[in-house]
Amino acid sequence: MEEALDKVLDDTMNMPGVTGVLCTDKLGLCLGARGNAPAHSSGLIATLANHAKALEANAEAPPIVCLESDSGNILIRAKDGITTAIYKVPSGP
Amino acid sequence: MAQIIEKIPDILGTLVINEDGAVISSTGELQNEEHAAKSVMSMLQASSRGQLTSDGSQQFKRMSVVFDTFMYVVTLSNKRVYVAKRGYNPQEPVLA
Repeated sequence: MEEALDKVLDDTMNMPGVTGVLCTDKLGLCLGARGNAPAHSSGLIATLANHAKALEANAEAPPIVCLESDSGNILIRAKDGITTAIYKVPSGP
Repeated sequence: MAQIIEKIPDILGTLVINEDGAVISSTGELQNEEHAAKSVMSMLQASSRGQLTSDGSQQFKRMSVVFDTFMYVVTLSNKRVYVAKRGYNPQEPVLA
C-alpha cells in the first residue's frame, strides 16, 4: 500500500512544472509529501477541500481548488477519501 | 470593481463580501447565498494562515474552485472579497 502511494508521489513529482505533492486523508492526516509541500499543511489542505465541496453540495464530481500566487500555484482535489495537493510553478501571465 | 465583474463572459452570479464576512451585494445564482459566502470566507481564512508553503511567505492573488460545468473565482481588492460564479466549458484537446 505504502509502496504504491510512494510511487504515485514520485511519478507526480517527475511531471513537468511540479515542485511538490502531498496526500492527506479526509481528517488531515498526512499520508505522504514530496518536494516543497510541507507535511504540516495537510490539515489545511483537507479543510480547503471540505469547504470547496460544501460550496455545491449537489455537485456530482468533487471540485478542484486552485490557489494562485506569484511564486506558484497549488491544486487541491479530494477523491475517494484521499485529498491530493500539487504544487506547481506559476502559470504564464 | 463590482461593475467590472458583471461584464465577465459566462457570468452566472456574483458576491461581494466585506472583511467581516458580511455580504454587501449579490446577483444572479449567488443572490442571497449566505452559505456560499461563509464557505468562501472559511477557505480564505484557511489559505491566509501562511502554512501552505514551507517558507510561509506565499500571498495568494486568486482562488478558483472548478466544478464540472461552472467555477467560482475569488479575488480580493480594497478590503473586499469578490466572488464570481461563471460557466466553465473546457475545450477538448486537439489530437494530431
